[in-house]
Amino acid sequence: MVPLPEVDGAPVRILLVEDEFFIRMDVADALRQVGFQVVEAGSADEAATFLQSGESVDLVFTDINVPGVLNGLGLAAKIRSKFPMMPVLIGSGDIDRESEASRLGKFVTKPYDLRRLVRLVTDIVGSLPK
Amino acid sequence: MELKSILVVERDIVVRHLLAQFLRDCGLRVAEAVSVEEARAALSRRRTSFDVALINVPSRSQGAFELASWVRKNFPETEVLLAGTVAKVLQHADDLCDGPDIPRPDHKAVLDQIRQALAARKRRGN
Repeated sequence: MVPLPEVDGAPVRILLVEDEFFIRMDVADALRQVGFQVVEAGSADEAATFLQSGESVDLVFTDINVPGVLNGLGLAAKIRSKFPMMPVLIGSGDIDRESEASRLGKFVTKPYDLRRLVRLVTDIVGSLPK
Repeated sequence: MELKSILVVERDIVVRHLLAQFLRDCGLRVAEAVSVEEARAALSRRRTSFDVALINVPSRSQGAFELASWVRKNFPETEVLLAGTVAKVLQHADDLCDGPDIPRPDHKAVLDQIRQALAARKRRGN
């Protein structure tokens, strides 16, 4: 039995930003299976709305190419500025975006390997201050 | 026992997350669509079937009714539930919805409605 990931006694909450329904569903399911609570956003704008609502989030995982005013990099830059301690994972199938993304967070290559992704998130969350 | 699956279609991320999380905590398998367009595209791919589609009805949009009609026509095995705050708008949904209007965001009422829809479907033998 895997212990539920927690911060301050509450389930770790991940804000997942992905506009492809089935990719979002698969990633969210994989993360939920190990005990994370996942908030699903279909765009960076929607994710920004959620963050502005005051709801707590422990980690953000965003795709770069998402519809709306903000893309994933714009969202990551906003998070860096407003929540500098919040871990950010940035995913893309375009490897040329890696250096740009790596200035704002941890780059993850698409297509996602779900087992590696879950392990990566678990490791990052494990290093968060309790 | 196999988890019942539900597709929640709701534009507001805070409402959608709270509702979806509540339903997951109640033992349902929940997928979230951020818009009627996304829901329709996802259903069209027929990768996953859903026992229930719970569609929010915004006050100034016919998209939810169109989606409900389309689901009923193309996925008769899926129960359709409409939720919204505007009673006047929901009156138009009488012929689309399997049950009475669900005031939003009364999660308990939503869950009761889902259970009733699933029970009715079981009685019908679907």
